Amino acid sequence: MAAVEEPTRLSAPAEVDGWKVVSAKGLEVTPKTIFDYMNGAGEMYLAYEFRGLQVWTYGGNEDTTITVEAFEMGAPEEAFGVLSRDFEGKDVKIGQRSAYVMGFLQFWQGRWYFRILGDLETAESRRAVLALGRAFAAQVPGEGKEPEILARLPSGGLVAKSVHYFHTQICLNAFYFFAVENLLQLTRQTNAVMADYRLGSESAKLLVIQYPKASDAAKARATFLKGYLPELPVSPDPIQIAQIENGEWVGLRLEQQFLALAFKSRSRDICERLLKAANLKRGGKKP
Amino acid sequence: MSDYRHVTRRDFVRDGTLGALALGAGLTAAASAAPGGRDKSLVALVRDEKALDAANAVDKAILKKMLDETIKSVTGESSAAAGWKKIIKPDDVVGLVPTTAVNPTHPELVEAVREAVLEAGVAADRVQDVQRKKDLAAKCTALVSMPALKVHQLTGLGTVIKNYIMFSDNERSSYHMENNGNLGEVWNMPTAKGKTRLVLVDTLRPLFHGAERRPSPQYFWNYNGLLASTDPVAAETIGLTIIMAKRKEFKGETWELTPPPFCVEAADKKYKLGTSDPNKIALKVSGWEKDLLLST
Repeated sequence: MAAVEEPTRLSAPAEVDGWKVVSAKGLEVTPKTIFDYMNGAGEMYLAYEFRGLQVWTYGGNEDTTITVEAFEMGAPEEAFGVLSRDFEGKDVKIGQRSAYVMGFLQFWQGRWYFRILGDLETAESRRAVLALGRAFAAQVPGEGKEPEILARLPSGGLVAKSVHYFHTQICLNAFYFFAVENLLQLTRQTNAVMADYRLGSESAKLLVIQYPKASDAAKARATFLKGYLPELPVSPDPIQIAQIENGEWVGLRLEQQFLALAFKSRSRDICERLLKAANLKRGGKKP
Repeated sequence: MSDYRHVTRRDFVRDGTLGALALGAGLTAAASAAPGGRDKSLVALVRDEKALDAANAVDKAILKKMLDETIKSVTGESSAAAGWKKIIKPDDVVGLVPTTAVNPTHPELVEAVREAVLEAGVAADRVQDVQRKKDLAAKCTALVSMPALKVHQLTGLGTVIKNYIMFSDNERSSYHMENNGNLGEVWNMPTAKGKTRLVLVDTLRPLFHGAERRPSPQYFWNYNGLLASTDPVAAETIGLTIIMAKRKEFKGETWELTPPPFCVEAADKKYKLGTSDPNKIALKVSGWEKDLLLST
């Protein structure tokens, strides 16, 4: 039996730009204690192979603080996935990808995801937040790979900040609600990516799911059709499209172990084009 | 809709319930601005542009005035003191139930309510914060629920109906995602049943997206309001309407709330805690009118 790898520990710089760490040891949070630390919000981290969290507080000259949260995930793809929940903000080129807005910096590097948040954004706190980001990013050696399934998304019309990478139903329901039941048969073993598209005046969402086996994908298509689009029979056609009550179109494409869904669109044509453009053959292309 | 296990987005589209509101499919009827009649639940909303300063610190004097106005409005009394006496009796054991996580209730509001309850004649040792203290809550004869308005990534909305989740013996996760529709059951458990005299929602600085321990600052905004009702579901319905309008304003298009907050409609239809029907809610607005985000 393989030994369980101990979580890695990062070190907090004692001082950055005049902001001093309150306790160098900081707070350590484990998968067992994550709910004590953040209540139900811990569910989302566990869905991305959460392994451990270190938290430090920095104090400045005024009565303000900056909190650093360093999340260690099971793999780089998981760290990317956590960040992909919300890319809103400016990429300030810290770590492999970052988002900064109003005193709040988040980024991923390797299998780490960081959140650095000042109480109140000032010029001083902004400098310190960014400096802390660079200091922590430098502690993570090397870069991690983005999830391979991202290459299945067609590039034309893709809204880059809308990309979400995930595995399970709890995440899907946090991004888009289809149904209470797990109609798409999502598990820890499925990889999924969802994104918004703008094509001219039309828009749509595209979801691509990779199942362990082609038979799993076929079963998921069947349960989705039965539970969500009962007007469509299971058919040998790889692409099926239907219009629902509010005028929106929903389409599916089954290709080996991949299932793609185009939805939330007023255009049948856009749904069909997106489904056909999804790179579901072997290899795929980088979006 | 009372069984949420098989619910899909298409069900909301078909029946136009509150789930539809959360998904942007839309209720068209707005709460009326007329005074509450016997058949309507009254919700009072009081706002002041200067309640928060540039650093988002609370102006206590303004907050006190807002609270007084809210109590007068929701009770129909001519003074806040008379209003509080209508809500709380001197021999009550009063539990204050603020929110402690994600977007905590402003402590200045908790303190202002405590002082008002004391002035209503309740002894100091009979007024306490009972959030996360189920045993103490069980001994109370009156509860003042005072959550802050916020979304929640596991329950859709995390404000009024969810505020008593810690009074349940069940695991918190048993109310997450699709099971958020069951949150209303906690209000009918012995700890809370029939005890809520007032729901006072801190809408000074609501959270309209994200529910981390420390959410991104871009998802808070200064609404500078207090929302109150004796009907928890009516208060929640108005709060949900404000949140959905803010999300639409932020994105420039409908921004659906996921998971859908089944808890709001279920609190009405399944647990009979109040009304989620905008046609049965009378909304009384006073103070600052800019960016109200409500049709009155």
